[in-house]
Amino acid sequence: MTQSITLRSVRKSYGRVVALDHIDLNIREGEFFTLLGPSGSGKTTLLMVVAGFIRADGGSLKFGNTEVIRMPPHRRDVGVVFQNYALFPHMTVAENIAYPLKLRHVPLTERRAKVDGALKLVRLDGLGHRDVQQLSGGQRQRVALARALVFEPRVLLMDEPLSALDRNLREQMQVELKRLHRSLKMTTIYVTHDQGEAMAMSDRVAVMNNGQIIQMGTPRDLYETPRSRFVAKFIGESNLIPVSVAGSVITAAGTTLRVSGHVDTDPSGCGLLVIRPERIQILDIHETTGLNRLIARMQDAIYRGDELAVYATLADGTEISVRCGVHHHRAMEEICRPGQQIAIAFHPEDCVVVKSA
Amino acid sequence: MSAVAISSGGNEGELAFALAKDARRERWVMLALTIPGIFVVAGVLLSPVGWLIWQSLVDEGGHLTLHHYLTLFTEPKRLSYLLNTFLLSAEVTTICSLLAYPLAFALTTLSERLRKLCMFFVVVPLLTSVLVRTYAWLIILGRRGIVNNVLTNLGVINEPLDLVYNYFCTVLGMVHVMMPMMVLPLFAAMKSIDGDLARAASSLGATPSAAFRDVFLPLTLPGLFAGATLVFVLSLGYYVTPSILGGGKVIVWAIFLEQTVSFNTQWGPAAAAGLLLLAATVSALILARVVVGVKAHQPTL
Amino acid sequence: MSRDTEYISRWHRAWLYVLLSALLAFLAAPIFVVIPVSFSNTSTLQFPPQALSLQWYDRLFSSARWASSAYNSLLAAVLTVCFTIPFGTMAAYGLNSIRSRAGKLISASLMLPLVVPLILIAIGLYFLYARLGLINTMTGLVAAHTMYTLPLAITLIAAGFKRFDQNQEMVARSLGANRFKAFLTVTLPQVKFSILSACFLTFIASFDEVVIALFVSGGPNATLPRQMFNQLRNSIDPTIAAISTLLIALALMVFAAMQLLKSHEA
Repeated sequence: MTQSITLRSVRKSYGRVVALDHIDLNIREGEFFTLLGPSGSGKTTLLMVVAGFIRADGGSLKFGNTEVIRMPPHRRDVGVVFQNYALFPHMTVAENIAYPLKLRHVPLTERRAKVDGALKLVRLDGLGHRDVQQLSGGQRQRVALARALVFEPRVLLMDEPLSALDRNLREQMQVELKRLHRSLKMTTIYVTHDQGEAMAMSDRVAVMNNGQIIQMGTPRDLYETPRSRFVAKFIGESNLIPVSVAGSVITAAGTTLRVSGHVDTDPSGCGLLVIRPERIQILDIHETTGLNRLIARMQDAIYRGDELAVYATLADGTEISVRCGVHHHRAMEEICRPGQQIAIAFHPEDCVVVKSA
Repeated sequence: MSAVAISSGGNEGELAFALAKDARRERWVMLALTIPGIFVVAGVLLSPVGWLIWQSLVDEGGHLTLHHYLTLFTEPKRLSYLLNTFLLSAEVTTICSLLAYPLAFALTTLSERLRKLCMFFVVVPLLTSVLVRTYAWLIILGRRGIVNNVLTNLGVINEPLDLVYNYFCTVLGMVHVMMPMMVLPLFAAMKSIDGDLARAASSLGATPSAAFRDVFLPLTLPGLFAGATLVFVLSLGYYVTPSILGGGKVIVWAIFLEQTVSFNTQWGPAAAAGLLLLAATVSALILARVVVGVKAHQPTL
Repeated sequence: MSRDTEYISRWHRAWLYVLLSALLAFLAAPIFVVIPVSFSNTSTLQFPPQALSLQWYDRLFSSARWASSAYNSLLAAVLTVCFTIPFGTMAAYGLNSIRSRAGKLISASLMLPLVVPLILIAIGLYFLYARLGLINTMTGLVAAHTMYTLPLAITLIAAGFKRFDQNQEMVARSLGANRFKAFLTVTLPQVKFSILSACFLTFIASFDEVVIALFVSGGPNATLPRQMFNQLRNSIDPTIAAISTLLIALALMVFAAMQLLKSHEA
């Protein structure tokens, strides 16, 4: 019963402010798709358009083959989980969950069975009679989820559902949601500003900023091959090394580097080389290597138990952060004395070059 | 006492005691700040009421008696005043509720600027003297007032209608006076309802009117009830508007009280009547509290 | 971000606004109807008036009785504010700091004037004052009005205290100010909007108050509302309209003052 979602050229403006700038998306049936971005990026607006709470200025929205962009929300058959849960305070848990079934004239016995099933699904069996006020944040979240799923909607939409929970609970719920998605296989659009969350849960992620989709792909795609400075900085931690590209020759601080990933530059031939902290090796300055190699001066080395965080600067002033795994600690401690010169090395396959802007 | 004994055990206990004393003193000072207020209320409110209670229970000889209370119930005229007052109050409350609800709701749907403008029309009447508001109805509904003039000019009537100095005008006047007092708490209650609830209902399949019926309306009922209680209780004891617009034909309890005081040298009957009004008011308030508190819903799956 | 879902469709919305306008007109229009009548040239309550004249205002301003009753109302209102606001502020501050059951009891007692019907209070005071010789005195009137306005003032000022961050007073005290000084220099300036609002509302509540004044003020100390009420019962001429217009002007001024306060607070 779950369907694919297709957006074509969806746009929305408020006066002169462009909230959505011609959005195209193909979300596959059963996919867990995340809209990721900072606040004001348009991700929530997009979700609200799909839900029907915001009327788009133009474009097409289809569930499966049905055009729904002009349909009012109550006929779209979407399950929505709001950031603040939006549970009806004057109804019990069971009444909340039963509400959409009541609207669909589901008979009493069937209704009861479905509510019980929904409660079981979110592991809240037996709490049906409770008042909403009596529940904890995490429990309310589950009720909201149960209510959104009980009528087997076409798609599930979630607007930062875990942001109001504390860290431990959030991680627990992430696992829960993933488990639920695996068993129900429901097309889901998930909105969040937390890139770790997006990476952990999604089949695909669309990174948004200023009403546009900057880059879309699997979490791995986005992490390993970011195509813009924005994505490189937004997802995970990255080092951005200014480079100049002439033909196929890439130079940084006078040193030639090899890049096997994609290379994108400004018209002037300048770009930023993106390399993740954990992909950098630290070598003694006298060691030779076949990898890309740059000289840096040590600033600080911070022992964090499970890793050693090293901070150094290149000759041109660029700050580099490196994460050394546990196996190299002892050796590193010798090399990484503040003020000392070290060599940082990385594989050509582990880096890409993006535009500076 | 040796230095050792002072630095252990003994001093700690003293400190704790002194701290507790300080805390107590602080509390007393805070409570003392409320004394002038309490003094005023006790002096100016409780003593006259207490006095009245005393007066209602003694006869001319100074002996305790329930005679004054009994006459209230045995004289049919007095009973009818009581009944009329209740009916009038109920009517005014009902009409106010029916009008204030859509008004408050409409206010919630407006933009901030428009809402401020509309609030002007709700708040300024509250700040205007009751006498002005009541007098205005005399002008509008009087024999040479707007309504009569318009109707005469249109040829609908030949003789001006008697629209003032009767029950209808009294109800109208009181509704006019009470409306803002119902609109404001209702509006506040409606405003506090989470906007996402409407959207949630909508996403679950509720048409706009179903969402209103199932979510909005139930959540505004406490506010409606509070406003209605306020208006009802005020109407029970209201004096000014019925006195002016009723033309002597509408005798509510407050008017009866005033007449009793003006025409009697004995204070017993008036005191008893007044306390009966107080009892009615307090009962209504308690009843309202109980109903709201006990409002447990029956789970209907 | 605006959300387009509402409880009612566009079509119904139009009707709702028609109703809204009608109700607002019902609430406000009658008041303003009074104004033209005050400028009429005849002594009957005719609307609209045939020709304009200032005779009623003339009569009003030249009448010693109206002048004295207006003065009485003004004096009573000002004196009431002078008592209610300090007492109310103290009580609100004290209540804000107490959490115990005693505090709840005191708070409830201070709200009692709202529960007792005004006519009852008036009659009771009439009896009591007659005994104490306070009938028709300014003292008695101000005492009664102070009691009458105290609950509202306390509610408003207490709300202001609630919004205020108590820690600031603590900081002031840690810097060396005693409690009273901290209150004066740190707390008071920040809750002044609530207090000023309470001042305005207390003033107009006392000025407009009818029922108590009917029984307790009289003769040389009669208030304006009392005089108005008696006039309304006897002979209705547009002098009342003139006074009413002035009272409407007063209400508008208070409204404007409150709006100004609100905008300054934000």
